[in-house]
Amino acid sequence: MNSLSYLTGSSQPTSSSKEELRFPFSESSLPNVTEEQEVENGEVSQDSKGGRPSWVWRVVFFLPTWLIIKPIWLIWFVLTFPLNLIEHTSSKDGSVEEEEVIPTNSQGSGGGEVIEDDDLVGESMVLHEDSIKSSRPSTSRSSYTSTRLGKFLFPKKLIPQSILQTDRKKVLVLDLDETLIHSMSRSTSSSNTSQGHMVEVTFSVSGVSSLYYVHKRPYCDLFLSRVCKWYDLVIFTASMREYADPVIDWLESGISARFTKRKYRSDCILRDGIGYVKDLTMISKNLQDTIIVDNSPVSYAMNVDNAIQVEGWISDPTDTGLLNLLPLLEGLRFTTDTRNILSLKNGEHAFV
Amino acid sequence: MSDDLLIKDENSIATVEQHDLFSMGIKKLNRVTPGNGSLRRRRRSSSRASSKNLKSTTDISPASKIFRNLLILEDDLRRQAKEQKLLKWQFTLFLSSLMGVAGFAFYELYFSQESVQGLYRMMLQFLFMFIMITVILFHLSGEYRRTIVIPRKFFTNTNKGIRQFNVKLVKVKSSVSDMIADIVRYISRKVAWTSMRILRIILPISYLETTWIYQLWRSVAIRSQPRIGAVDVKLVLYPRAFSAEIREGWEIYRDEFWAREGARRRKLVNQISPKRD
Repeated sequence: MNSLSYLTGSSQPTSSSKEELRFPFSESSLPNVTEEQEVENGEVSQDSKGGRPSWVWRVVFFLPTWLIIKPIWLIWFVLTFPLNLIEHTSSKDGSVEEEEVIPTNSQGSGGGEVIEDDDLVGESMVLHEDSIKSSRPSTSRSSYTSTRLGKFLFPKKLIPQSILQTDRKKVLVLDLDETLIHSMSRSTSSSNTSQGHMVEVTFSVSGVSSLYYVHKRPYCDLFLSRVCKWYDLVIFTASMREYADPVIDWLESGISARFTKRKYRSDCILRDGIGYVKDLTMISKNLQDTIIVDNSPVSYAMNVDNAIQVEGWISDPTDTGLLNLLPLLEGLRFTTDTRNILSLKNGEHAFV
Repeated sequence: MSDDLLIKDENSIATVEQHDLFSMGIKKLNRVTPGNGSLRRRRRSSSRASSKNLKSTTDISPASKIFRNLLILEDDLRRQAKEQKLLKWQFTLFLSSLMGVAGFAFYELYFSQESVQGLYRMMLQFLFMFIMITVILFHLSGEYRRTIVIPRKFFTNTNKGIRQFNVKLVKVKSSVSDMIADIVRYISRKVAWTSMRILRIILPISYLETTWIYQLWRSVAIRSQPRIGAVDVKLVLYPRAFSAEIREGWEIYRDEFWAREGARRRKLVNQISPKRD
């Protein structure tokens, strides 16, 4: 079942007053037949003013209703009485407690924070250790505090309205070299370069011009064209602008979308002995809505919890690294905080 | 029949909870009940909790936030898995029926005892060539890969992608009785929807809401909603990265969320046929 369907409430029938919706076979309709008939006659006289067809339908349905359906229903009711009784008694609690919830909702909506409401108002429970049955041999954690996981809060809606309704997409930061493409300069590659796209780069500082053969990673176009529907794409590369710009232009020509931002080596932070580090805060302040896909852990050293690592690609034609990320990225677009999922790479440290 | 299904469903969820409670053996589950410690006050806790200042996100434990986002991820992966499965079946059926027709034409042309002549022969030849070209184009345009190869590897690919986050997507085997119940629900749901649509056409709208037959089908439609939760696909945390407590917490969290969601949906039944107190 997709979550969207119940969020939009499509499965719910149009609600009307309870009297109208009364199930016609409820227990009450059986004993007082005469009353029902009187009421029915009264309604008929009212309906006949409104229109003739409904009166006709009433006559057509009259005989089967009282001769076949009602007796069958009576038998059915008698047979299922024990089950109905159980259901009836168990649902009584719910009906009582329901009244207590309603004022809460009205308070929440009155506060004007409707969007945040569904995010946080929920029911909670705490896991407790059963002290009697704790026969487990004491492992490294001797205390085994039950409340380590804290209180569980259950959202009323799985995906908050604020995320579903907004037009703002999350930001996906992509690396260029060894993640989306691989390039070789002409001098180092002698063979098997004929298929690559040629990019001529002229460095403004030195004035030296050189030729690069650029290869797209397998599924690169598929990846970009899918992902651009879900995210705002940003290229953040540790290479020079003179080289990166023509390559990005070439990538853009293969897909319908554009990269919203381009960041180059000049935007990286150089750490001695480590390399170029990419600081995600200069792209977006909302780190909970930012994801970086990179092949080198050094690049995202400042934002480990936002990172998806992908294996570096050089020449393997059967590589599926980008294809494998598609289901994950599609699933991440509705999360409230991407760091919650992406920090799971640290194992249990994510929970403290 | 519909009553049976409803009751069965409630029972199944109840057993899921009970299973969690008892199978763990080391933990027991207590609902947070400020004030009194009675176990059945579920909703009261929510009203109390929300009256406190829960609007600030700092109050929510990290585990709760992680589990909630995992639920969102899991639900979307479930939708994707369903979508890919449907795609795979549709196009497998399409291709195999095409190949069947082509095989028939080929047999008629070259292996049949009586030789076919005239217009019929030309038609068969055209049909055969047409299907062959279609299949070749289907393959060359990459549609074969998109619709059959990639969906078939969906679980493998996804698991390769999410392995670095120490989670795994697994299929859940459902028992035979569950499958039968699912089929019955599916059929009765479809029948109910169809007859409601027909009734909406033939009956005047003013009379529709009070007709017993319309109400009957409506209640059948609600009572035969599909099972929800981790019924087909679920995310599992890796045991080597997470302790048993966290993994159990995740299972409990998911089951509990979907049990509540199911209860919320089934309340619609009570709205339609309110019980008399």
